[in-house]
Amino acid sequence: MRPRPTRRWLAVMVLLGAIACAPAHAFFYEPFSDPASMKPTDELEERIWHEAEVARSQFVRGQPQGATLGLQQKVNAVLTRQWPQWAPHLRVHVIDNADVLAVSSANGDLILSTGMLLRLDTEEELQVVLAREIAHVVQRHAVRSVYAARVGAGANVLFQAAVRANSFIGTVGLLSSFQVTPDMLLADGGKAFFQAQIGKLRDNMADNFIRRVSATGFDAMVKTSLFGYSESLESEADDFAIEELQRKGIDPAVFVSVMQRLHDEAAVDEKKFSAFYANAGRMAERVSTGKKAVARHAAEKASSAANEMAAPASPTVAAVPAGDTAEPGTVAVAAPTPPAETVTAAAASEAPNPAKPDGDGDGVTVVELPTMGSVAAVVIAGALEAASDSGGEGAAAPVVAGAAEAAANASAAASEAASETPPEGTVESTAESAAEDLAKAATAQAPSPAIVTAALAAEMDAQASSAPSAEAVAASTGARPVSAASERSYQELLASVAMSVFEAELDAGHLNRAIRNIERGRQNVPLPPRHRLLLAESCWAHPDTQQAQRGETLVKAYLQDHPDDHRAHKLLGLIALKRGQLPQAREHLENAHRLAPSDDERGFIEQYLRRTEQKLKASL
Amino acid sequence: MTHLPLIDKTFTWLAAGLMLASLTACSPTWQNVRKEERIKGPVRAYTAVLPEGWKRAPTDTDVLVITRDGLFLQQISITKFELDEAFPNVELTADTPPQELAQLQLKRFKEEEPDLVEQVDEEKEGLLALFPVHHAKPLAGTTERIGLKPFVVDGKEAYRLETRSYNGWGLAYSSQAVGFVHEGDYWVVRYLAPTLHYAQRDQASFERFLQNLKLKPKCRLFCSD
Repeated sequence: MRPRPTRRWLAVMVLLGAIACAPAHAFFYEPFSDPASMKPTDELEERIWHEAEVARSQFVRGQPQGATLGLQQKVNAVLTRQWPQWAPHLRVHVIDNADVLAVSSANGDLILSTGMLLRLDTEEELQVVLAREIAHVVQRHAVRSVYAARVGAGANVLFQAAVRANSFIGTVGLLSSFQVTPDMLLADGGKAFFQAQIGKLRDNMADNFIRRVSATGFDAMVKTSLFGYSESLESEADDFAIEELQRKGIDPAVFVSVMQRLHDEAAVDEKKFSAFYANAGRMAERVSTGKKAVARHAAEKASSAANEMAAPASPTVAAVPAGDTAEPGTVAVAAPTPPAETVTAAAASEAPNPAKPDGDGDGVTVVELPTMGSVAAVVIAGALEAASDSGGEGAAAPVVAGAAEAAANASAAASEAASETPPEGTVESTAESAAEDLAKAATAQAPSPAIVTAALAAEMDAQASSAPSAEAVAASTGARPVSAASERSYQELLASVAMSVFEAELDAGHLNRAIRNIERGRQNVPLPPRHRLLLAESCWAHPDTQQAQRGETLVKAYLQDHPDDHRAHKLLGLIALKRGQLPQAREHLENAHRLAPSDDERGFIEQYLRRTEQKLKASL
Repeated sequence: MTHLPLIDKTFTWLAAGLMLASLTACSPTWQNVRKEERIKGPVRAYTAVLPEGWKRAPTDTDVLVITRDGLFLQQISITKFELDEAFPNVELTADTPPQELAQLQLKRFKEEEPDLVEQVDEEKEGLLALFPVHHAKPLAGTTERIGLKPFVVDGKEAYRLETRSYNGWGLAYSSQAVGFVHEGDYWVVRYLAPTLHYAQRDQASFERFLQNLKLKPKCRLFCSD
């Protein structure tokens, strides 16, 4: 059997070739360089896009309604505002689901759950998750994953074929070695035997290939987008998101804070296997990546600050006010940036610091400038001061924390000051135009204080309505245009879905997650008072006795404020029943029965009351 | 002497063949319910009336599964669990209130959709393999509560939990589970069907099944008929 080693080597070579070629081919799916190029480039990708349409039905069922629809419009507005070039090619779907989900499909569907949104307090935090999901779309992670799986499956089939071929040859060899001669088998029976062997081998190969490709293909695409792509692809998404944040002037510390929050929740969750953003291990990787980026960012800022201190700043950047007392070329000194703080927090901490001229009367504005927004605001204030000084009227605009607001105010004030004061040469006009330019820059770069405040809603709607391509896409997909955003604020909408998310977590037995989620302080999200009762229920249901004790304390405190809440009475009744305090149990349960809003609820309370009565009788 | 191993082998093969044949003959198969039929549950803990025209699936003795058109098209099941094994880390008692049982059951539905009937080999190959039953199974992670109300089964306090879930193809399923503690066991009677067409159509059969379900004292000795 001379050919045997040759065939074996051939099979090995084919296998190695397939493996070697795999990564090379994966490079053909390069990231979409611009929105116009975002389309399938081959049959595989076309099929994946088609499957993505089907996969959407697994998450999105029917049209969103009520608060979910409102939230979808708000998130869509953020997408349109922050990624205006990509937004027309992406579709946001907010689903009413308590799990921490953010999923993207190859065709540009971005699916976020209400459970996820409840973990994102500010627009910057929402941008973190959106940017990661956009990265999956733009960098074509779905097709790359499917392709890699296919190659893997193909290689596996080849490998198995080699093994089977080897086994077949081995069988022939075995028959020969045992001298299974044709006269031991019927003549045509032997032929049939070999034909059957070959046929079986061929069928097995084909069947195996189809099964494996389908199993590791499109199903995998849906699953990986839900449970996470390979670590290298997820790292790419991290890098993309962090770069996007930095490009928008947002501190990467926001990325870390979001991922840390998700990690901390996932780490204490009773259910360990879950979707990507609820997986502690994968979130730990994200936190690690984010921290490295923060360190890099801090180092870059420190180095640029050192450079600025060492050399005079560029006049175009510094935009030094050119008042009578100002010295050309004097720079505003940048102070080191406080590390690991969100931009909004940093801006808020700076709020009370007005820009003021230094004491020696040289007219140079010397302040600490920790953020880009503040840089813009301070320079604008300086420009205004110069303008007002030259006209002898007007007061310097204070530097406000919300850089966008500051910029808008400053711009308006600058226009006002300019209109009130006659131009004096080119200095004032330069100051005014600089103020306007910087106001625009600050508006573009400054982080907003919360996702969609009332002030931003109008601006958001205006921007959305001025984006015809987005509307055209919305119209073509049947989605409601962004300009139809709900009048309720994002925080109000979030508050209205919060209770159902908490209830679902409680139902599913995610007690640690529910407790953390309810207790976490949220900026401007007016949770209904009953969330305190849900917290008490979660604590009481917790196996830890200390938590259970806390639950009792919480429900008692809640009942003092809400004596007509049947659910609080019922919980206290159940606690008393469990502790054998039967008279108290009966009293609370009777109150609960009296206050219960429905027959079903009364029915369950009656079941408890019957048990209490039975126990009372037995004790007597 | 040289022929002895051959004879031994022959007998071995013969014995193995006979054993295989006998096992195959005894393996459970689907049973048609030609006319309404009253059955006794395991240890005679209940009696139920199987609707005419339905089929009884081959299952363990502790489990009853019936369907009219096929699994996951509509199915009624009765399952039982010992109280200390019904839910992990939870010790049920005969006195456990139905609402607490319902909460535990909902949590279980959200975690897993049990396989009550094992897939037979014929379904794993050929054309049937293209439509595996497993794919039709509702996904536990999609389960959401629709309603929960108190219920009574043959005078026994119970809960009735209505849920909705979706399978991998996005098909919505309705489920109604009635749970109670009886004779030291936790019992769940469940109706599961796609919301589209089937759930409503066979709802009446389920209601009749519940009405005819009679709970009996458990037989503890000499239980064979």
